[in-house]
Amino acid sequence: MAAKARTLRRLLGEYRELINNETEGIYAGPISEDDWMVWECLIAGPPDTPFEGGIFSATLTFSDDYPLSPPVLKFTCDIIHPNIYPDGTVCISILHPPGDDPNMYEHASERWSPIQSVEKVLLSVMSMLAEPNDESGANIDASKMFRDDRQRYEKLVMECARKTVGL
Amino acid sequence: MSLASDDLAGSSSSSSLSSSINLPQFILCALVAALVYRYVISSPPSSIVTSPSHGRPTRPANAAVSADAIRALQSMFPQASIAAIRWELERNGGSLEIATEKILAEGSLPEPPLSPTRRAAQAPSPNPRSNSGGTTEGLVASASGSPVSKLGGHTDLISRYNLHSKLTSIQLGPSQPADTVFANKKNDKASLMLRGRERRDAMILQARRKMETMLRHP
Repeated sequence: MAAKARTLRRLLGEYRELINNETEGIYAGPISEDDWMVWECLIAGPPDTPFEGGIFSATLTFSDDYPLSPPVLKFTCDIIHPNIYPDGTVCISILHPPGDDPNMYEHASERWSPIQSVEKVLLSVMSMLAEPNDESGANIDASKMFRDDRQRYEKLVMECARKTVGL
Repeated sequence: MSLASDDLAGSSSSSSLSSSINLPQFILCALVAALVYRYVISSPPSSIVTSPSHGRPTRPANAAVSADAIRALQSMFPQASIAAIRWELERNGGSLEIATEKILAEGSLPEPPLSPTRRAAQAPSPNPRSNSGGTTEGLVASASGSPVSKLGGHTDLISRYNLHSKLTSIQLGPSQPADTVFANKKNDKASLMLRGRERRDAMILQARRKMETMLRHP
């Protein structure tokens, strides 16, 4: 119970920071006042990429021992990206616990630790949108298309971006 | 000769001594660990079962699933989300074996039902709890040939947050300066959330206008 209280305190602190010190291009906050363990997030598509202009929505799910273990980030909009699983879950090193590196190519400093934060996660995901990591394909078809048919990939990405703002 | 055999006997007895200490100790440890584990995860199954109408597991069930078990499964199957693992453990009474077999058999775990708020935000689906296939809509989409993750519901944020009415109002950017300055000083949960929501809507509307101009002048 003490751990849960610590988690809630930490989440409230992070939320206050996010609201008081606006960071360009990201928003995150609890979906409902009653459940602080699930947040909705918005990530603006990075400029000068086909994602530009889109606002991509995702949910962040925290476990009871956050910030010891990382949250899970899952997109809730149509999106195509080599490092996003078909179910929307994001595969990025900052969301992997330090002890657990199935592929053995990530540095410990890139991975999750309690000094990371929601803001850093969202900024990392934003730069991941701009620069997909070819080495860890979560969506094989998207990886292939990104490599072999960049034009079609960018066209699909732009369609997704337009859709997010209802155009 | 006798000395050597004495030595031999001595060393063998000492080795059997050390193993005779280790083995029972190990068994005892395993037993204690098993009992503690059973004690920790044992909770009435009726509280674990979630009612379909309610959607969310009850809190006691949440507390019963150990973080270690979730972490162990997550490290074995990174593709399964923590929420899905937690939900599976809650339903099967915390059994790692059952969860492991299920993931191996089906390739993934079904995601837990959405919270009431999120479900309300999404389009009504005829059968939100179809666990039979264990497939999400995203997987179906990829099977049908498109690499785009289709996640269904209102992916369009204007509809999701009911912003159509605000699209026509011209003012944008730092609106209501007096109110905002006043609100900035408050840090309690309610006013934080109020400001958060305002910011979310402003961000979406601003992006929508930007996209409209981008499409007009490609």
